[in-house]
Amino acid sequence: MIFLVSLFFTVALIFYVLFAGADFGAGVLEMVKGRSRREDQSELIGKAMGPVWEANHIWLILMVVILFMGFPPIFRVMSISLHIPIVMVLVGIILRGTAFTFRHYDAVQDGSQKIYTILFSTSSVWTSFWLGVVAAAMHRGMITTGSKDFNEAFVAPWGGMYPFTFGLFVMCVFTFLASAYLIGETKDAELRKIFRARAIVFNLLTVVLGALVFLTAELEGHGITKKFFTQPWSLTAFILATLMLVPLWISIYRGRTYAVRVLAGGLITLVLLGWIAVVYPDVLITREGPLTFTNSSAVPAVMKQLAIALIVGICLIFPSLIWLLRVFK
Amino acid sequence: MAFSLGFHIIFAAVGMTMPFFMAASHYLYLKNGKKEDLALTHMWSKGVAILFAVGAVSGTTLSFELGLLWPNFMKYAGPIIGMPFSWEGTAFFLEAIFLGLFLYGWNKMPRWAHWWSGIMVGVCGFASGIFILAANAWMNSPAGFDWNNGVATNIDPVAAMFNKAWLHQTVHMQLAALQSVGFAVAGIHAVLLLKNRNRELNLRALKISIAFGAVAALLQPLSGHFAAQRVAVLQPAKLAAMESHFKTEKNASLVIGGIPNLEEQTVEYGLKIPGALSFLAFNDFNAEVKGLEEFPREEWPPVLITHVAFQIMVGLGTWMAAFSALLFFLWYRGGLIKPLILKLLVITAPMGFIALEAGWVVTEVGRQPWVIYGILKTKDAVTDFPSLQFHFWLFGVLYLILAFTAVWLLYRQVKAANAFTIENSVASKMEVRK
Repeated sequence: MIFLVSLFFTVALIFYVLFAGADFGAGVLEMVKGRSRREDQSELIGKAMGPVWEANHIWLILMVVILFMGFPPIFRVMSISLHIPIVMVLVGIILRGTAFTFRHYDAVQDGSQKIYTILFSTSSVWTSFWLGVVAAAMHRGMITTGSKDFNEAFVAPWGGMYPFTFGLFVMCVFTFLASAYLIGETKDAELRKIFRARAIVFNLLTVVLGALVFLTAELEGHGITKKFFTQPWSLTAFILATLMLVPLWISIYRGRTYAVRVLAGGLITLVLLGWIAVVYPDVLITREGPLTFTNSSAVPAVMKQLAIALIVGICLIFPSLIWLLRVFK
Repeated sequence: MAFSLGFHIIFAAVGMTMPFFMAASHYLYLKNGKKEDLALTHMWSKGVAILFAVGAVSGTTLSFELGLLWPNFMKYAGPIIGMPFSWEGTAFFLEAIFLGLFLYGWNKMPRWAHWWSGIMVGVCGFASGIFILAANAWMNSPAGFDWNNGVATNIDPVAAMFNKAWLHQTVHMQLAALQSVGFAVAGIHAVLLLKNRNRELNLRALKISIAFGAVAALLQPLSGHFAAQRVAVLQPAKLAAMESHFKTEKNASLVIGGIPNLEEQTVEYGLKIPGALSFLAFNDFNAEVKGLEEFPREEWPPVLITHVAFQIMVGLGTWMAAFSALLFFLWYRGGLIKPLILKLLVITAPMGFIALEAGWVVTEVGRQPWVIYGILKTKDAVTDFPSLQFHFWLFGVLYLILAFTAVWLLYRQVKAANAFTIENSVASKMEVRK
């Protein structure tokens, strides 16, 4: 049961990054629209995200529910030690979602549209950054449950070079995904060219920031880099991801929209799996020791009910989700 | 947290009932092809989209806040009541998917499949409301575990979900949502009718929303009676506080209005109906109703707040039920649209939401000092994180801004929708959808 539930969690995480991540990325793209066809870019993003963003967002809620029902100690420690970055994420989520909807549904087109766009794009940047900070803090090993000192208990777990670099890295990953997906959302050659260029730029930025993530991890001295390159699964994932770059660039260059989507999604999935392989089996590493899915799970009766709910839920959700994507994508 | 919940409850109520209104007008359109029904469906679906987005993000915040503010509550409660939450997650997911299909699916899928996706938005929203209420009911009537020396053993999530309070709470809340949203919507359209805008459209809107709201308002007193009976057994202290009932007595009287005096243990200025409380709680005028004196003073809920909130809820509910009866009578007689009735509808519009908030205050404040009734006190459940004030102000201000923006947007929607003639608005929308 624990295995099954953890598997669901991992799948939810991957889907969240691949889909909701791209929605955040689209917001980042609104910030770097450049000079040409600004309105058309916004409109395309609105049209592409509109039907799906709320559904994409709910993978996150599923993850939270799995954590607090199935693995309460992890949820509890996270909620206390990472209170500040999680609040940052929440503020961002609220602003981004409402700004996006309000922009689409405001009956009057006036100056307020600009405000919505600014809010939508800044909060997308903001939220993806803080999501990365939270993710990094979870395996950074600075979380402590024993301290009474404010700084040590609530700031030190996430305050540092590594989580911040990780936040920027996540932001670039999201933006790369968004640009890769958006190429196929339009038949307009000029717009496609814009997003092809963005996809390449953010792909390169992702690679650079990935290297910086390893570098800052080394500087902070918590051995993740070494582990990444010695753990066989993560090394395999890394090599495969690197090999995928070449066909990715070729298909972006040739404008093969479907191949670009699959390759971009596959690439990021590999990166995620590599990261999971390094951290596995730990979910939350504290100074007092790691919390894993195994050592922090609720009693079997609870896990059974959770697994049932997830299986039934997935049987209902997947067909509907596929229907949604078939109608709009 | 209270602020977030109080904010979310309104948007959640709209999110789970409004889709039914929308589907009703959509159904009429598909059946008779009237342009007004189509325009109305568009208008309402925009409202749903705006309010659903706010409900979705504030709901996300809530699911995190459970941990951020109440980590020690979640440590105990998470595994036990996680089950309704996991089902709620599923229902919410489906709701979001179907909403996407409905809002953007015009002319992209078979007409009836499209209509059906609108219905599913409502069904899933309604279901998620029920699951959340089941979790809240568990806090009032904990079940599904054994409590030994501060440790929960023998956890049974199914028993926890179907606890003794879940049925009356869900029925009461779902009716409340229908009735408050029904009357709020009716009020908006009544304003437009008074201004003589788009008569045909607003008349149809009025009828649909009254049909939902007034039926719920008429059923609500029954569900309230049922709820009171359950509370009398499950949480006698709460019932006593609701009624400012200090002394245990038979043939207990129902107090209407009044201000409880805690020192003298009496109610000042209230109107008393002998035996009515006994009847309300136990269906028997001579039944014994436990008073607050049975409980140690430190386990009393804040009597004044609970009492006043309860009075507000019952008072508004009674008016809405009576008004609903009148509305149906006039509808039957064929004289629904009179200026006086429309004005009354406008006045009644906010009452449902006020009653909803008041009822929520009754159930939450009435449970104090407990967060899990009889198990865990509120003060032991709160987080170690200092400066919670900051949290409160941050989300307080954020939500206020959001609430204002949402209302402002709806206002602009209504204005824009009515500035056009029907033909224009339908035509322009068709264009956009293509």
